[in-house]
Amino acid sequence: MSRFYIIFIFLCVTVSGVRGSTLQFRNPDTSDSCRIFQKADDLFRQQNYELAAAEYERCFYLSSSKEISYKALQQKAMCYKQTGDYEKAAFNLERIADAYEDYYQIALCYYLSNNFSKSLETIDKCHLFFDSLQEDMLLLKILTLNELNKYEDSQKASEELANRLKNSTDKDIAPQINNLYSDLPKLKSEQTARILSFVPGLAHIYANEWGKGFTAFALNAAALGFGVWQVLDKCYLTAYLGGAGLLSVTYPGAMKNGIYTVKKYNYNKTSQFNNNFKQEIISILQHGK
Amino acid sequence: MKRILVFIFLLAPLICFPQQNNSAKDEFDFVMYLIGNSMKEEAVVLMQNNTEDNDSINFLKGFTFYSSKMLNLAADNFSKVSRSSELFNESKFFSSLSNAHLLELDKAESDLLAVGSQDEEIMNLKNFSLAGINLLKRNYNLFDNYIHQVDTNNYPLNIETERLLQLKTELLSYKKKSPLIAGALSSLIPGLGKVYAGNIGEGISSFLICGSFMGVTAENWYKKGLANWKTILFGTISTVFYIGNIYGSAVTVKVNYENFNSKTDVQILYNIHIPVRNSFRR
Repeated sequence: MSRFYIIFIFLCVTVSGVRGSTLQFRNPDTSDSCRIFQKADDLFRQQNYELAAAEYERCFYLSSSKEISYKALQQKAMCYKQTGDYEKAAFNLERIADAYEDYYQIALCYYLSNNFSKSLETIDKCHLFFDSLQEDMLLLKILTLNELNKYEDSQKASEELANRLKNSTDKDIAPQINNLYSDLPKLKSEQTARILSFVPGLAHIYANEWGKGFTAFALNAAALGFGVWQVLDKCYLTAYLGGAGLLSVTYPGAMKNGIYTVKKYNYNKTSQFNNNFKQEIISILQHGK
Repeated sequence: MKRILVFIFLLAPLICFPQQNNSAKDEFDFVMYLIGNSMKEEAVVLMQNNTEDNDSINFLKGFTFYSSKMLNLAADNFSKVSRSSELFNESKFFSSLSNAHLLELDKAESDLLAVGSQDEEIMNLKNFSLAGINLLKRNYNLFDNYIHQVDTNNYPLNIETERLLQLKTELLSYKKKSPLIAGALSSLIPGLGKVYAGNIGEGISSFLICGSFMGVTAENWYKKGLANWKTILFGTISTVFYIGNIYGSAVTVKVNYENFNSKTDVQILYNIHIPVRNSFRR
């Protein structure tokens, strides 16, 4: 009888042990992952991108197949692209980045989320891993460098792109591309703006903001004038606290605003150039091909 | 033969239903994985779309919302966990924390009072949390009552208990200042009320600003007369600053007191939150 109990307890422990291990170390079969993948795909088709992203993540979590995990995160990134959350899309692609196309997508996502330094970093990493960059990545590099105001590097990359296309399609688009760089935005020097801002309004005028410049000058002149008038009127305390006190507020304000105006001017100029450049180069490449 | 049949009969449930409740456990593990890997948004989306209504899922929903600081939803879902569930006590602790963060202190207290267990550690944690909630309510008698029931041999709770006692001492030793006295002092010397409230820098700055305008007014009054436009202009500005400073000093006393209270509340909440999370390893 005691042998009976010992065997029974042994079997119980073995069976329940097997049961416990299935709970702790899940290794679901591929069909399970496929089912979840299909569910996620359905949600994607229904444009329920947020829930689809979560289900693709579940697929990644459950699947033991490298291929399914890879596809799941690719699709998850696609969901975030659809919702315009490019940073998240890039983050998810970085988890599986392996192929050239992955790096291109990551760089593109960072570019679309205005994270240009990260985009350039990814392109450089891709260059390091795959020796040379393909045309699509070169174009992205050119656009990214433009956004970072690195026009010299951008021109070099453009020349490389033109040479590559000349070799593959026999069409020389180098003159057209070089022509795009002939009208680079003439940016105002921030250092000059800093020096000019010592005279209130001058930095504004340097940035072609004449109205703002005159207003800043008039305000400061009025404060100074009031102070001088009070000195002449022998009201020294009023001169010091009224005139100088007011000037201590308006003068640094005008300086700061002058430098900001120049920065804004430069930003507008580069944005305008970069947007035109983007349209032009795409049109050249479409016709060139 | 008879023995073999008994074997089969007894082992059959274990063999035939080895993965009972696996789906809820899988969901639980997956959501915990999402929360643990900074994918709280995905966890929230999953929980918002989960229509199941059982204790595990309700707890999971509560914990997901709690982790994402959606405290109202967290408290709602924790409260749906039934008393028969093994997650009942844990959900009551987390519900209490959610309600405490929402400053629904009565609800937080009643959540904790519902906790019942034979486990000494759980009861210790319950007393500690109740002490914390009563300190938030500034009910010092009940605080003392509960804190003395906490077993001080328990290492992590020991530190937190001492911290709560220290916070109680700080609360009791805080000298509440009178807005009336602050206003009166500022009416005597501009800025003095703010110095009394504890904001010395602000007081000196107020004194300089008001004093400057008063000085300019006095100069113009003395040199140009009372009806001069500068005397009227600077006099008006001085009066506005003077009255504003009196009002500001009274408000500063109130604001300082509220800041002290809310800062202490944040510390109390932090101190009652840590042991709960540690005890349940969440």
